[in-house]
Amino acid sequence: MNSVDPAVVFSFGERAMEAFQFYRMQIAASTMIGAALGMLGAFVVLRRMALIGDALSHAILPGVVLAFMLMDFIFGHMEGLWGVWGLFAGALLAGLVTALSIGWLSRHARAKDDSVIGIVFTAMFGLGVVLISLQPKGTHFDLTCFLFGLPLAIKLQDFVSIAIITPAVIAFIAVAYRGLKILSFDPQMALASGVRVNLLHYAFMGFLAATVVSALRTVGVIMSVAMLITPAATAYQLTNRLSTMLWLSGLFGALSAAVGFVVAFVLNIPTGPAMVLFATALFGIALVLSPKYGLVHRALRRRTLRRHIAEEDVLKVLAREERALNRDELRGFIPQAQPKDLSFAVSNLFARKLLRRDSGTYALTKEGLARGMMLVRSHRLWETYLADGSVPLDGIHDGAERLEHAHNLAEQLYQELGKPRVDPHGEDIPRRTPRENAGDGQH
Amino acid sequence: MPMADEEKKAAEPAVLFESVTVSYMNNPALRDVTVALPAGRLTSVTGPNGAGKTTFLRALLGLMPLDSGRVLVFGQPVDAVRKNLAYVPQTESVDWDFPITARDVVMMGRYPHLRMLRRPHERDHHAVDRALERVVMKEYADRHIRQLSGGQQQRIFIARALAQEADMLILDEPFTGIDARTEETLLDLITKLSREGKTLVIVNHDLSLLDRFDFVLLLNRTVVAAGPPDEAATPAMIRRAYSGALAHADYAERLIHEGDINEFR
Repeated sequence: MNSVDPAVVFSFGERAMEAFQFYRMQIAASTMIGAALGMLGAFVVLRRMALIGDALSHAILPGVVLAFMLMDFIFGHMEGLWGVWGLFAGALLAGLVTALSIGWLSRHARAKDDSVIGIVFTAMFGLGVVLISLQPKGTHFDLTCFLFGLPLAIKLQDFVSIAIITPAVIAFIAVAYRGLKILSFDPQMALASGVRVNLLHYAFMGFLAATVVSALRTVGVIMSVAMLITPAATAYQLTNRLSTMLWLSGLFGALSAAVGFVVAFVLNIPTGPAMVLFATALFGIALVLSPKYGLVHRALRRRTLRRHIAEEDVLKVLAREERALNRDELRGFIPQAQPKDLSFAVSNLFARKLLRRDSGTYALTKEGLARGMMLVRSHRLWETYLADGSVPLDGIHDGAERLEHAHNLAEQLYQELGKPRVDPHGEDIPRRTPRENAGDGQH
Repeated sequence: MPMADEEKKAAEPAVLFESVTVSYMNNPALRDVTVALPAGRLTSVTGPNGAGKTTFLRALLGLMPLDSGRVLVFGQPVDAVRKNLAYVPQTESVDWDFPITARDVVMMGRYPHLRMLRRPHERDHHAVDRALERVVMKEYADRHIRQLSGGQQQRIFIARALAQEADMLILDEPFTGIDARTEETLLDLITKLSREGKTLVIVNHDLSLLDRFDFVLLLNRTVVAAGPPDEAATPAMIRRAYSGALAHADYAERLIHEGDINEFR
């Protein structure tokens, strides 16, 4: 047996403890900023602003560099709260310039919106890199740190700014929740009902820019986009409620930051990327296992439905043909079902006493016949409905072959079509039996 | 009292456009529109594609700067009566994958009445329940909006407008993409609402439905006809509305906007 060496587990745990011991402040800062990015990300995802988030985070570079140069010129350093606020101001300015030029260009230039975004943010980023190269010798602006973050280097001043911005983001979302919800879901109604849409939008972008700046040291610019989108996209797969999505998204963001930090420390790999990869792993798990939209549950639901449909097909064919059929005949009548589903259906119908074996052939029990007739009825009602909706006669059978399984809806059609007695092919539509009247449409 | 209300309603139009011109990027979408829509009635805003129906709606909702003229709703500027206008969007423009249940959508109608940070009051929940009952959607209230049929989706947005308790409902193309029977149910509901005193302004391009309305506004960049269907929606008027009105004017405007000097030499 290949088992894990206990010494490795021990040293893993030991290293993790070490991380908690020496980098408590850095872990706390990363976790908070992960939560803030995650919660803002919920709205970024729902408003389809992923590209704008990406643009914004890159475009703040020249602002950050300018602030750095100015601070260096005035104070000779970037330390303390002045450094932090200077950085914020520079980033917000650059963010504003970006947002305004994107808005102006998309109104006045012959260029598509996404092209405009692409042009503006790369130009701003390029400008930032040029500004860095213009720095006098001896000053040190770390581009790699800007791009990928360096959480181990989080200082008290960064912690303080993050400890201010995160509650501010949460408070903003709490105050503006209904406005943001209605703006994301139905911008027209938001405008019509007097929500201050522009104010809300720019406030949101401002908080986004401030949060991304705060996240510079934790995950860096490139990875901050992932921390904005991925936790929110994960939450989106798990719930049908915005409020749930919001806190799940914040939780996943915080968890990714914390776990990513510790794992990176233990394995001695870059921290920002470790956070992003952990967030992506959560996304992958949700993608596969989400109870609502996950691949596994969808496949299971589809299989259950396929088998259910195969069962109904067997019942209907036997009822329609009005005689017992052997296995091959049955297969011939139901070519659309997979053989495996068909065998499963047959044995299940035996178990439910809807089907009986009659010297090598299959026949319906009394109850099976009633069910089968209901499906024949449903099939013919759907054919009538399709023909009524001008579908050509030679096409209605194939359509009804699928639709007949929606037999509860077929009863509604019966009323709406004026209780027809014959289908468009001239076949009788079987009456509804009193038994079914008792209502067993569920299974 | 109800008599007095009735009289007042008849006297004062719900919507008044006075010489309204609106344009997108120097392209006039509506030219010199003057019309009064009656209160407590069912009005159809009708015209061909590109006739300015949506622009008319946007101007009515106060979402567009006007080049000239003015719009009055219940005798006042739109901004003063916003709470009293409920907007029902086109179904195609809705994000049906948004994480929201039917009841949540209806609750949005209460937002204009809610104070910031306050949770919905019992009264708001009652208004939502009543609106859901009114459109016969109570049993589907907790479904995700994707799990509703086309007609049900439409009704949920009408319930939102009802929950808002507005006097005017503005519907953008509610009859597109639904089958004839759903259309009938919807028309019944809409007619009942107008009989109860609501003003309904409906963008509708289905000419076969015009005689179901109390008032028809035929639009093609400007007012072609306005009045009860038997006066305004005559075959001659409809032909006029649907015959590319003002096409040459548009072309010239576009050339001017582009600064295309060749055509003007």
